Formats: sequence, structure tokens, C-alpha cells
Amino acid sequence: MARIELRNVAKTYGAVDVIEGLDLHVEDGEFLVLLGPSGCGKSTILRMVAGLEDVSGGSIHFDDTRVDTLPTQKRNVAMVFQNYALYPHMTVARNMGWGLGLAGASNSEISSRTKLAAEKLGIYELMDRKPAALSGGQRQRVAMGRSIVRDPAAFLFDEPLSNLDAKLRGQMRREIKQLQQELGTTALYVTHDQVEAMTLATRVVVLNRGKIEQISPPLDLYARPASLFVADFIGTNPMNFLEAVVTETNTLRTGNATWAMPDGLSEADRRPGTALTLGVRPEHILLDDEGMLPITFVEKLGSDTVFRAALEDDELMVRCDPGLGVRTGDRVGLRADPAKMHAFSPETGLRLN
Amino acid sequence: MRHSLLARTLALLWLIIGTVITLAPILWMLLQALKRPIDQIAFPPRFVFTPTLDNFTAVLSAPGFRAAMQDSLIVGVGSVGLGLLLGVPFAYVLSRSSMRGRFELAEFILSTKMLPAIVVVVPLLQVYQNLNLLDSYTGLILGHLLVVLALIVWVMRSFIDALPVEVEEAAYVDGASRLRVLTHIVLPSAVPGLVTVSALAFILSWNELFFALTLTGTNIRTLPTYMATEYVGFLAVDWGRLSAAGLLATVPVVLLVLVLQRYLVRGLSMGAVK
Repeated sequence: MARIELRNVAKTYGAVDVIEGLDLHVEDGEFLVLLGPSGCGKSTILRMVAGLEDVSGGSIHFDDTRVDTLPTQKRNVAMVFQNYALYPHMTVARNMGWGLGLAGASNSEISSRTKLAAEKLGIYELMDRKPAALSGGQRQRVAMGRSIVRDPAAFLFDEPLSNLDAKLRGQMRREIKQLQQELGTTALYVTHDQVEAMTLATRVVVLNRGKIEQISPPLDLYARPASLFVADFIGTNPMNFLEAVVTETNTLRTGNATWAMPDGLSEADRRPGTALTLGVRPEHILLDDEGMLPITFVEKLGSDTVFRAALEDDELMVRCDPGLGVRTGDRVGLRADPAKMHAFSPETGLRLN
Repeated sequence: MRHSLLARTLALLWLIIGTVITLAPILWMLLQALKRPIDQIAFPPRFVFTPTLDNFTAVLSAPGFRAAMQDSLIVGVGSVGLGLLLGVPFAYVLSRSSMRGRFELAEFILSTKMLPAIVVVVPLLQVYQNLNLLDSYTGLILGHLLVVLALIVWVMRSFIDALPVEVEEAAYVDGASRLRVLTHIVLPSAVPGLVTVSALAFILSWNELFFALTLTGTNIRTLPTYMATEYVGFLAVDWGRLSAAGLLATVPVVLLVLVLQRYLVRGLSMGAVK
């Protein structure tokens, strides 16, 4: 177990800067998730920690040891790959115990530790099978088992659940979380799936184009996104964004609609005439009985209903109770809770309130 | 999909024509090998005759033939073995490293196959003379290495390219050195490729005449040289024995392929990744 620290880490491929000056701390025993769209550099960061990619600048430390100068073999990390990467010619038992053997463990130690790990993961009866004879979920468990037998400094997960179907993914997610809590091993987990990030992480790092947009506990990410990018990326239904102007009457005007002033804005940002980007989540918009906004599209999802209402130039996505029975063509009034409204600077995209 | 009767008949006909074209020389060789000398040169050729095994017994009892088979075996195994030893790590590096110029290097290796053998063999003859390699096993094995190395490197490179690199990365993370990854992870996964390329390379060496004829003399005679010099004279060709020897020379190769057939099927790497 170890604390992982990235200091001013950079990565360039030829003339392309993939990552510039990245600082990141992973506390001992923490479950840190790197979240971002494909191409944001999250896998590259993980691979640099593993030693599968060189760093182009800066340094990486495990506790007080600098490791970016060490080869992968000397870093004592365990990695779970998206495609499992099992050794095809070895049995499950050999797959799990091979690394222990390389580290010089005795045969009896190897068999007792692989047995323990296999029992923990429920794959003990598969020990003599080869990977080709396993299902996707079983392969993923073997890959996990290969990681936990070694008692590594850190677990590195590179989108480990992407190849599984949705149901199995949910189950493996819970198992990974339980396993990590039980073992208390530092974990660094890369994913593009916000549900995985929200459910697994103690803290989430949202990455965009090789830069950190926000580091927060999952719920803060949802409640107080630090930038337009994060606000847009997090949330099952995407946040509504509206270009707004502060009016003389301490309200916001978007086209022909008027909104309450969001909480927490500074005096300077509330000056009349100031332009800002207003963000409201579909689930935070409240319905009024009387109103003029026509509903253009309704999706009934069972647990809730999502509809779109037309503003002058924009459309708002609203999530509401299915019991309300809204229909296309209905007219509604909408308002938002000032405590749950987000304001961003149109220039920098950063949060203002 | 169900095809019409006409289509199926045409396909069958096509297969039969293809098979006949491929097998006709071998069939002719078999007939010649079973004929007495008087039947061999008859024109029009006889398809009904009294068969004899004289040619086969004559070839098999000739000490020269057995020695030639042994020489071919030594040179074939030697050149393929050396070729694998050099070529497989070479192919691995070409496939996995990001070294500059690796593509050019691979193409250069292949380009050696574009030269006519005679262009290579003339300077080689002089070099061999100075190094005292003429008419020796070492000399011919090295000569055949030139024949098989490009094949081994290219086939193995594309084979290794197709293996998932994450499996090797997992092995590095597990603590394995590069060499151990090659010997314990890559090679076991590449067995079908190794078998295929070994069989192909062995056949190349087994059938090679030009280098063997030029670089060896009396000490070493591989099967192709033996056949070309023993049964082909200035004025006459001993068709019966030549045919019998030719058939017998193909037996080891056919056996080799039969034995290795189950490895020639790809699929060992299945199951490593999704």
C-alpha cells in the first residue's frame, strides 16, 4: 500500500503535448477514479504510473520513493486491463500465481495465496481451466485475482468493466468496491463511465485534453461542477445551459424568460448587464401549473418522465414525476431553485457561484 | 447458403481440374517410377504396363541416396534452427519496439529475397573460398539461412503483431523481464506461427538446389544435388530412378506436414483477450 504522487508530470508524443504539468495525489488506501472522454489522457496517466509509458517531464513517487525512473517490474503495482490480458497458455491457477513465482515465492506459498484469492473471488472451481474456457465475467475475476495475490503497492484499473454487459458490469463494480475496501489497497481507476466513477470513487479526477478540470468527491462533482465541461459531462441527463444577462431587478433574463438569481454569486457578477452561462439540471427544474412554454417532446422512462420545452431560442430538458402525465403540446410554466442553479463565466467556462 | 445444381457442378468440376493440374506431374512421376526402362521411353506413353519396384529398391539401396537424405536433413534442421534463433527475436523487436528505422530494416530484410540467387551466390562463392566454408555443413547451413531468414522474420513479425500487447504488459507488471516475456509469454502463444514458419522454411531448404549445387562438392550432397547429378547424365536421364528418388524425397516433407498439421491451426491465442 502506498501514497501515489505525480509532480508536474508531462507526456509528449513527438510534437504533441498529451499531458502538461499534471499534479496529482492519491492518498494511501484511497479509491481515485480518473474520468474523462476518450483521448483525454487518462489511460496515459495510468500507464505512466505503471511504468508502461515513460514520463516526458516531472516525477512520480510512491510514498517517498521516486518510481518514474524504475522499470515496471520494480514498481510492485498490479494492473487490470480492459481486455483482461490473461496468459492464454496458462491455467487460471498459473495465471494468478506466475507473478508470485517470479518474485521468488515458494510453491506452497503460491498455492495457498492463489487459493485464498480464488475463493474470495468465487473462481476456485475454475483453477484448472485455461482462459479460453472462461466467460467474460470469469476472465475479469481471474484478472482481479492475479492482482490481489501479489499484495501490490497499488491497483491500477484500465477501464476493466468496459467489455462486460450492463448487468455483469454492475455486479463487478460492487465486487471491486468491496474488495478494495476490504484490502485497503490504494486504487487508481480509469473510466469514461460516470456511473462507475460516482459509485466507486472516494474522489474523482475529471480530465479534459490532458488537464484536470476538477478533483472532488463524487457528490460534489454533481452538486458543484467547477466548469462547464464537468457540468456537461456529469449527470445522467445533460445539464441545460442558457446564455443569460443580469437585469436591473436582480433576476436573470434568457431570451424572453426570466429566472431567479442563483445563490452564491459575487457582488461583481450580479451587476446589471453582466453576461453569464446559466446551468440547470433537468431534475432541478420545477413545474408551475400556469405557463406558456409548449412541450415539444416527451420520453416516458417509467421511473420518471423527461420532456423538452421550447424557449424562444433554446430548448429545456426537464425531468418530472411520471404521475404528472405531461403530453406533447401541453403548456407549462417552469422555474428553478436558486440553490441548485449553476452559473459559469462565458469566457473561461469556470464556475462563478 | 444453398447453391443451384449448376453452380455446385461447376464448382466440383473446377476442383477436379485444379487437382488434376496440381497432381499430374506427381502422378506421371509415380508411373515412371513403377515402369521398366523400356516402358519409360515408349511413345506414345503407356498407361498399362507391368509395374516393378526395381527403381525404388535401387534408389534405396544406393548409399549415396541415404547419405544425401541425411545431408538434407542436417542442413534443413540446422538452417531452420539457426534461422529461428536469429529470426524470432528479430521479429519480436521489429513488432514491439518503437525504434526508428525498424520498418526500413524489415523491408531491407525482405529485399534480399528480390535479388536473383545468382547475384548472391557469386560473391558468396569467393567469400566461402577464403573462409574455407565450401563443401561444409556450416557453409551450406549459412547459405540456406539466407534463403529462410527473411521468411521467418516476416511471417513471425506479422504473427507477433497479431498477439495482444496487453498480455505482455501484464507480464511486465507481474515482474517479468523482457527476455522472460519473450520465452514464457510470446513464444508459447506463437507456437502455431513457429510451427508454420518452421515447416515452410524446412521445405525451402529441403528443396533448394542452386546454393547447394554451387557451395558444395563431394563431401556434402543434399537430395536435390544428388538427384540432379546422379541420375542425370550427359547423354541420358535415368527417368525411373530419378522419379523414384523424387517421390522418396517428398516422403519426409509430407510426414512433417502431417505430424505438424494440428499445430498449423491458429487459435492458441484465443481466450487471452475478449
